[in-house]
Amino acid sequence: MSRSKRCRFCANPVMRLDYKEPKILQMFVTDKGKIVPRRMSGICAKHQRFLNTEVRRARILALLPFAAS
Amino acid sequence: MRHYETVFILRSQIAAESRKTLTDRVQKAIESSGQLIQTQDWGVKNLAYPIEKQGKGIYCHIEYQGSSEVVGQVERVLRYDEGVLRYLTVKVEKEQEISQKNKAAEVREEGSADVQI
Repeated sequence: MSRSKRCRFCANPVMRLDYKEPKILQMFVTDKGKIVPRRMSGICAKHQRFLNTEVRRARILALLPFAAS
Repeated sequence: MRHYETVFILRSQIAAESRKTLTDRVQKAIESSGQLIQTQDWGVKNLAYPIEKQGKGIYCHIEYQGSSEVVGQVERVLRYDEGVLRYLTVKVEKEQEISQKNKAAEVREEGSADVQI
């Protein structure tokens, strides 16, 4: 993932983290299904926190894998 | 009054009849102490991992308002129905955040309008 100066969710309020939109969440998950750490994702603390809860919700609904093979 | 949303996953081979009785029961559960805002059918989707040996499921999304008891009533209906693979209820954010979202949506619309020009 390329390095950007500002958290992309702060820069663009239109982009929202939502468990109902797994396509956006997928950008912040490794191909094994792990959540990408903040230092890699370049997201601010607040949005990384949202990312965590939304990814976990999406996993419950089988929209994202807990662990991909 | 609080705003909730529930997503539930049904077996893909569920009979149309039992699906209808389930939605009716859910609706009744909501209307007993709240009100339905909207329902949405996401259709059949592939599951990211098998649930009860099922690879596919029908996703349904409902939004409703009511006191905290509504959630229990809705979830009780879903829990005891064999056609339901999984459900998740989430509290929808406070109005402030919703209005912020609407603002974001407006920005989005304006943005798209600009693109058209």
